Amino acid sequence: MTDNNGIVLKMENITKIFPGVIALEDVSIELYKGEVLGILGENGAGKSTLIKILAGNYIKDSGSIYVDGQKFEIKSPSEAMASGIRVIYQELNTLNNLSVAENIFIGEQLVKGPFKIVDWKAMTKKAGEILGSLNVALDPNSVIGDLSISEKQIVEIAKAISKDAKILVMDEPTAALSEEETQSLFKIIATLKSRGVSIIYISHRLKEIFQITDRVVVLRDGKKVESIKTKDTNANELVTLMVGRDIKEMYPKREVPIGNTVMEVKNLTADGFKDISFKLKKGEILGIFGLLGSGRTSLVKALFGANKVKSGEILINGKKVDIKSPKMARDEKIGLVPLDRKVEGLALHLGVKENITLANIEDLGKGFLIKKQLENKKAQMWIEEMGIKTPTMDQEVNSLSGGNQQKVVLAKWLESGSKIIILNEPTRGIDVGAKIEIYKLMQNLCEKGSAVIMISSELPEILSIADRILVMSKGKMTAEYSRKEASEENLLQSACI
Amino acid sequence: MPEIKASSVEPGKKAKISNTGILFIVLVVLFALFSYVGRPFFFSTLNLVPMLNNLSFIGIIAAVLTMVMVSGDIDFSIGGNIGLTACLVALLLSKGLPGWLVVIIALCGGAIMGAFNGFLATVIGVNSIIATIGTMFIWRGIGYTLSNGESMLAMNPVIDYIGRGFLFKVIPFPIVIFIVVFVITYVIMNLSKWGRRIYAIGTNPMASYLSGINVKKVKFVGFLLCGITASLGGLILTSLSAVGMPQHGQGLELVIISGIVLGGTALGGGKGQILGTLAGILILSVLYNFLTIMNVYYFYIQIVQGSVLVLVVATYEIRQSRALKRV
Amino acid sequence: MAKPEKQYSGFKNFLRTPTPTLIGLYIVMIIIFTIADKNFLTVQNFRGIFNNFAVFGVLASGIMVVMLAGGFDLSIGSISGLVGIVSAVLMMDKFGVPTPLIFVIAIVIGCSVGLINGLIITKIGINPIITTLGTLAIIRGVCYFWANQNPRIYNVFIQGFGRKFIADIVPYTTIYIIVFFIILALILKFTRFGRNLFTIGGNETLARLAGIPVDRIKIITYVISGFFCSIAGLLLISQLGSGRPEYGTGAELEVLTIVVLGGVAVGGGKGNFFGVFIALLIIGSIANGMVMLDVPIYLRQVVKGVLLVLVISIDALRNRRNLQLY
Repeated sequence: MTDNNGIVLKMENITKIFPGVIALEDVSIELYKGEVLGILGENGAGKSTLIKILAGNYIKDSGSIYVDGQKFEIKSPSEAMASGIRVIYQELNTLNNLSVAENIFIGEQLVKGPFKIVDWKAMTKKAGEILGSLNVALDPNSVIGDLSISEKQIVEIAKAISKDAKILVMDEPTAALSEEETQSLFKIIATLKSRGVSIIYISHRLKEIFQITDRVVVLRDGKKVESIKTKDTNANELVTLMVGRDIKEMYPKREVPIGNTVMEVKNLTADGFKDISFKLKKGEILGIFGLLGSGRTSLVKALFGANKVKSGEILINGKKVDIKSPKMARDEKIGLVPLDRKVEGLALHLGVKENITLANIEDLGKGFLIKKQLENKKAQMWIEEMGIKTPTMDQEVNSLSGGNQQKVVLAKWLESGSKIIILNEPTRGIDVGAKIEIYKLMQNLCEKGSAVIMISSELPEILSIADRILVMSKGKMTAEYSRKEASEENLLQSACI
Repeated sequence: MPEIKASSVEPGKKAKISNTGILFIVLVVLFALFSYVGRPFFFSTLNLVPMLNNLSFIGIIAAVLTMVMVSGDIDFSIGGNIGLTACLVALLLSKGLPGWLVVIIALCGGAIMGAFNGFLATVIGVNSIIATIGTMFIWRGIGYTLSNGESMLAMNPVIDYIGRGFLFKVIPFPIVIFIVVFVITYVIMNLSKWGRRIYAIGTNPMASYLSGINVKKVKFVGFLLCGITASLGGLILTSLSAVGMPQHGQGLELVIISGIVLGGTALGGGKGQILGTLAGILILSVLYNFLTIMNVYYFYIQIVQGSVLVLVVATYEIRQSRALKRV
Repeated sequence: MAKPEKQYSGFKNFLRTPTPTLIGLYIVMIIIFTIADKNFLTVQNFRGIFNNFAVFGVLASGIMVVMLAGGFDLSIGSISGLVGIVSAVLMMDKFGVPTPLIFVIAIVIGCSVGLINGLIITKIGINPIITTLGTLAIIRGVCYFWANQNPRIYNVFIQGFGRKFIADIVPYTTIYIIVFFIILALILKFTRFGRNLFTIGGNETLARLAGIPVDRIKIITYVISGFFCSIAGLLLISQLGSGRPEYGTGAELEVLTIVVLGGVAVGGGKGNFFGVFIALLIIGSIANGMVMLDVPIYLRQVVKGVLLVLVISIDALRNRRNLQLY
């Protein structure tokens, strides 16, 4: 059974196609016993799809999977779990009104006796032990809803290691963790490794990859580009592999003259953050960096009227404004390209045309009715201007690729005349080519006199594209760097204060 | 031109006959079949005129409810609204109020009921299915209280005209109302900015909200209009039957919602066409009329109505999940 | 993690549920009702309240299990009506079915209809409210197959089933409800099935990812609901002394009011039987109070509707999700 050169998992020629995009094309990976395999790739390279297939969450379109040399068709999460595959997902999967102990044992509560009575005492005790081994002081009886995001992430990790796993997949487990917490996680990984557990570790923090992995697989645009021993490579090589081209070409930065302040935020406080102040200038790209749970998305929503401001003020062109709803934000010429475009940005089952005019329906005609020629003209103009690839303007946006969808969202705000564009992780889930286009579009906007706020957790991106970077941690602003001052180290450091 | 085509995801199959078209064909076939089986009574003015009259008040409510459903909500209280309106009209007439004033009060009553539903669904944020099942109970209860559970005579020139009058001496007035309401809702849904917002909200309320659309307002107005239309329907029914009684409109929500879903409107919102609703409602009206004239016991018709609802929704869901699997 | 901390944590969790508020509310109600009518706080009156609400209490047991897993069941009134009339007809002299067999048949009918509901809802994936609204109409229609029978109940055991008292004070039905509630509460707390209900109701996607057989569990909840409809149906014919096709009409609304008032979240994942029990007493006492105060019968319907709307509004405000932003 173990006679396959220590390979515990083999995924061969895996392909997965979503409408409008090939998420994975012919990807093969092997995982050895007791190995930590890093999977590296930019947003949208196919990392998440790959592990969702492994977890039984998606069904592959073609290819085969072998576990311990046996061919294995994974059709559901329970099948994957039964064969010892455990996944810590990026999205937090905890139930807020249940206790820590219960969350750790979801679906497999400890039972005793012939009647399989749930053994609460044993669960609390075991949960305490697991948490203890993770070096965290969390009461197994506390309710999840009371915990911070990083504590929830630790519960997720505890959940995954609560049962003996053969293959443990960690999808950006440190996204919300401080440096110390990260180091204790690495100790756990080392222990698990020595017990013979194989680990797939996904992250786009190179420092972690070098610290913890034995081997790295690099994905790009749904294809495997390289599989290499960690000790045989270096950061530059990995970045080049991930991006697939020269860094300068990847992040085309044009210097745009910076103008007057267009937006000023003074001591803004709302749910999720406190006392934030900054200025945004015409022609500028202002980057905001922070870990998961740092309050960056709450801040964006507050600026856009979708999160109630408790105190502080926002000035636009020197005039105090009171933005109570996205409608008012739009009327102040602010646009938001949200974190999850499918949920927050697009009406997926409407056409490209309807989505482009979505934020500016008022201007589709004089009275009550929509003037069709006018709408067609506007849509056509933006499709050409932004280079949106779509068969017709009536095509459902659902069937476009991620990059083209993102351009539709951007076009929507330009159509409504936005001068301040806020982009929350603008290149999430889109391919490299489209990313470059988005960067160029952002800079075109700046040249035309708009101002851009870009939230990003992708370090190379924010370091190269932003003119100035603000760092948030635990709901507070902890640092501000100019492009020259900023580095991977000082951003991460400020983000963990 | 919000062409919301469930089936148009596959570009391979070109311009085959639309779903609404199929429904109209089904309608013609059923009608012909029933005319033959139910001859000679089914296809006679004695049957067709009351059938059309009934269709008129069911149809206008269905048209406006389609707007609510496309925006992702639902209103189950329409039947209760009709019952309350009928009792209110009869009560006010018995107090000697002039007909025109009674009509205005009745429609205002409808507006209040609609506004209350809208308030629950938007401001409080209650799931509209449950909220309106609750208000349905309230409206009908008030109807019973007003009438003390009895049927009251409702005769008055103005009221009589609404259900039994003729425009230009030939066109039954309910049919006029029916056509006017359908034309208006068609224009709203297919040609107007307001309709565009309704489709956008039904497709993705969050994205619509974050695009500066006032989601609550659009939804609220939908409920408001639905309440007014239901009480207009109540007026027609009261006029047709010349009595106001709290049982008026009982179980109507089953027929109307089945008809709307049959017409292609999705329960979750975002998809639906006024013409589809017209076809769906016509088919069900013809079917239930046929069952009634064939002397099928009322409670068996209820079995059919329940089954039709489950069947229609099930068919829709199965097609939907097939489309997803193809992806 | 010392021991006292644990207990504190459990008590703190209890304080978070609406149950303490309900207890307070009920105490206030008792005081007001007692001042308004000195007959309220008497054994005689409470005997009545309990017995009148037996059917609703039994139905609440079932619907609560369904709702915890995020489901819904509007057909409970119709199912208990169907069970009632069929059992009553079978007890007529011309059939003469023995009593134990009546129970078996009743339970088989209830569970089968519940199974059908569950299959439609999970396997086809229709909204449970719409599904059970449809089956509500269908089953009620089926009840009228026996509209002309009008069977009276002469079976002594069935007569006593819902009407007898222990020591002339405690109704049998109260014992049933307490037993059902305790058993179910234990199942919820101490079985994997029970814990999985909370997971499914809290986050169905998460439950599926955790390998929980979501569909199977949901189907079982509808069967459980069907089972309690059977018991309720037998109680109905026992208490009313005959079988009629309209029995149980509208019960779903009253039961829904009770369960949601008791703190069961409409979307699922939250709820406890103690809260539902207090809610049962509150709604029972209000109904009882309206009778004592001679509120006209039709107005009582309005009050019930208003209560339902009020209760679900409170639920919506309490369980407001992020998406309610707009």
